[in-house]
Amino acid sequence: MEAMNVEAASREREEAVLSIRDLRMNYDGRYVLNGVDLEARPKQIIGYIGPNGAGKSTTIKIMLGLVKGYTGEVRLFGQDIKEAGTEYKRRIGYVPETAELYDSLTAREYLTFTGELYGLAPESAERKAKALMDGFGLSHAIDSRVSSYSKGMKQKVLLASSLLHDPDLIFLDEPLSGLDANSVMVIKELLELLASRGKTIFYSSHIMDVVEKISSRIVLLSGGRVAADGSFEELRARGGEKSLEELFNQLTDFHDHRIIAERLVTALEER
Amino acid sequence: MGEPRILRALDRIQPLFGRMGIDYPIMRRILALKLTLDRRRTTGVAALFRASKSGSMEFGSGRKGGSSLKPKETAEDTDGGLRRSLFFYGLYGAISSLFMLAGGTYFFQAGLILAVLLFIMMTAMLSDFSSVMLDVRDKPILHTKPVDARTLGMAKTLHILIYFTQFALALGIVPIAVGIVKNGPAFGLLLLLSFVLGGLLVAVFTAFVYLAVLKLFDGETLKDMINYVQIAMTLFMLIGYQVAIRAMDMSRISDEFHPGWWELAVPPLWYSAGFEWLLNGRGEPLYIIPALMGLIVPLIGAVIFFRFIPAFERSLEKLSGGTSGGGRKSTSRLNRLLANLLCRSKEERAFYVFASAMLAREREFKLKVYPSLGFSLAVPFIFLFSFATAGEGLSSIDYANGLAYLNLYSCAIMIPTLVLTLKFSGSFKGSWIYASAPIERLGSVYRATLKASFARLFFPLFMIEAVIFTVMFGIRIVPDLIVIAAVAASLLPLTLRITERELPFSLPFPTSDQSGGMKVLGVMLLLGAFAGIHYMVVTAVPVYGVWGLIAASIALNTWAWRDTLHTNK
Repeated sequence: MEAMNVEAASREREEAVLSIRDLRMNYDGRYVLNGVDLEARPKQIIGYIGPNGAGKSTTIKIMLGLVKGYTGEVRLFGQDIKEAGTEYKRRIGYVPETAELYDSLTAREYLTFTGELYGLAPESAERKAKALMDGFGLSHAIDSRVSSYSKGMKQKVLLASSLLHDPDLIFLDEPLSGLDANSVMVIKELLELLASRGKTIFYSSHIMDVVEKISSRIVLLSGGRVAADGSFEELRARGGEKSLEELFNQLTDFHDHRIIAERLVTALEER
Repeated sequence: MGEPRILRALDRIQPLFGRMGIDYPIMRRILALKLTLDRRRTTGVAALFRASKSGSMEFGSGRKGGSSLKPKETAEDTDGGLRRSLFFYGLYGAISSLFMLAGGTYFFQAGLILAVLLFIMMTAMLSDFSSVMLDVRDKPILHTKPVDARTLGMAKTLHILIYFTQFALALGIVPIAVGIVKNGPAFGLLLLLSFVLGGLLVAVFTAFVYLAVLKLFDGETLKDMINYVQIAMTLFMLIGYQVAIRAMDMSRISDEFHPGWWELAVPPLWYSAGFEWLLNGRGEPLYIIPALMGLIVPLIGAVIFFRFIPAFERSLEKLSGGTSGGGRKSTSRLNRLLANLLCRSKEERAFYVFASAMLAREREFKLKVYPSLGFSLAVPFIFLFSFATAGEGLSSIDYANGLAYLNLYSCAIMIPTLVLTLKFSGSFKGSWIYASAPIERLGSVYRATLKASFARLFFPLFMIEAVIFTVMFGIRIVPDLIVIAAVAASLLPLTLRITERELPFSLPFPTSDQSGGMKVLGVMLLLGAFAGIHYMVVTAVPVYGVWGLIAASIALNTWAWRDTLHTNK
């Protein structure tokens, strides 16, 4: 990076939908992010992986403006988000890690509301909500309270609310949790179509084989830093491992699974 | 606080459980857990007296460091909820015992006090007790563990029994003591017995009401019903005390009270018949039959109910599910229409519709706020009647020219509580949406929510009162009513200015009552001051003064809604 001349760097950053420079964040004196550098371009599906507590969700929340008090630079659509106001959020869609939503509302009410927050007219928000719910096979439940939904149904509502306003940059934090195999196929297909239409998708998950199949690029975060960045093939060529799971173990320097499992079994058998 | 004493008492009779085939240690464990849960729960009656959380969190500071996504800490006073509500039940009991001081025959005294106590029990049962009886978490948590049904059943029965006894004792202790002092130990003992049997009757009756509602409707209906019972309870408390205080005079007349058969159909009188029979030795069938009914009906009811428990458990499953659609489109169209009428920016309209739906749907919110709505509905009339009785009675009110209609101001005392409750929600974690969406001005979030709560909760109530007052005082008071409505509207943003500001529906309900009472009091004083100004202006400038007030109150609103809701974001 240092070798690159300044002009070329700035040209490149103009194209980038997302660019993070030396991002650091500390909670109560403990660094969660320790200098993250990252860039993303249109049409990329980025698998964002890392062990629990590596700072994946924090990075996403910083980009959404949910978490403040970081140091470093975060640019979305070429604008520094510290100066950008809220307008940039209009082009972002977000599915949070846990399915938290105002579940005493019906899906129709919730989706219309979020659509309106992103600047859609109420009628068109409602129309789109209806169409998305139909598409997810939930048209029968659109007027029931979300609190009566199953986990998978809630997840679909969240996905719908993140896509309703046709965002250019989509952050998905465990988007497939609770979905059945058929719905997973639909979502995978959907993400590929969106990417081919120029959207950027930032996909965070713990399920390695999904990430492996879906992502055009994989970013592995470990200890608050980017530990690996590249396509699956590139990473495999570098590490010489067969699957992303093994690669994940290797890069996060984790080899004790057998020993830990044995220790757990010993504890169970104790009388 | 260690283990509840009751568990140690149970330990003594442990062998008994063993002989019944019950796994005592496990049952004890479940019971201990249930009692702990009871202590941490906010109960309906305590909710009547709750005020806001007194935190000093300014708006905005809560969002630093991502805490908007985390549940905010609320100071938990583990014991507060239950103790406090027991205290209030004790208070209700104490106030009810005033009925006995009124004198009259045993029949009359006992009938009156039992009617009141059993009614309180009934409403309490429907609101508080429901969470004990209708705990749907039992199924996934306990039924999946290797605990046999008999042990589980005994744990549940004992739990209900303990809860019930605790609260019956709190309610009954003062009246029974008063009974002993006033009418001797025999009277007191009989009162205690009647109270226990009557309580059982109420419990069985409640259980059958639940069963019927669950069979006929769905879980949602039952939960909604509990809300309405809460309003009824508040109204009853307020009106009941007014009546009770006045009853002292009127009851002396009824020394020679002869009950007819139809009156003996009312359960509280079954027990008072027992008083005549056992204490006054009146062995006529007119007294004996009802007295025996009071003994037999609850016992038979209890036996039948235990037969029905499996059916009951099966119906409980409806509570956890419960989907019902339909009937929602028309209200949402109304909300949309009002939004277009009351809000200017698109953002504000979106929030208006959202807030209206939340206010109408959020069960926990309704549970906290609806009692104060009931209170607001009753208070203007209570004020009116209190002023009237202080003078020459109701007929002394000068309906044609007087200013007694200004009591309607008291209807707005719900507003501070309402505004302070708006920031809470059962699904507060959904508030990430405020941060992730491109909201231009947070001011419009507050403004829309306040408008929605005014239009959906306060205004309909005010209209009911206004119509009644107009019928009483004549069309001449309409301009004054406009002033009152405008002043009430201005209180919403003013309350927000005085108290700390948090985004609507973004905080969990405090688990125990925390009082920020001073601030509420401040707003109420402000309301009193407005009423005082109104009184003085109308007295000083009889005909045209009110038009000046209309202009002034509109100006006040313009200022309050614009300036107060400015946020620096």
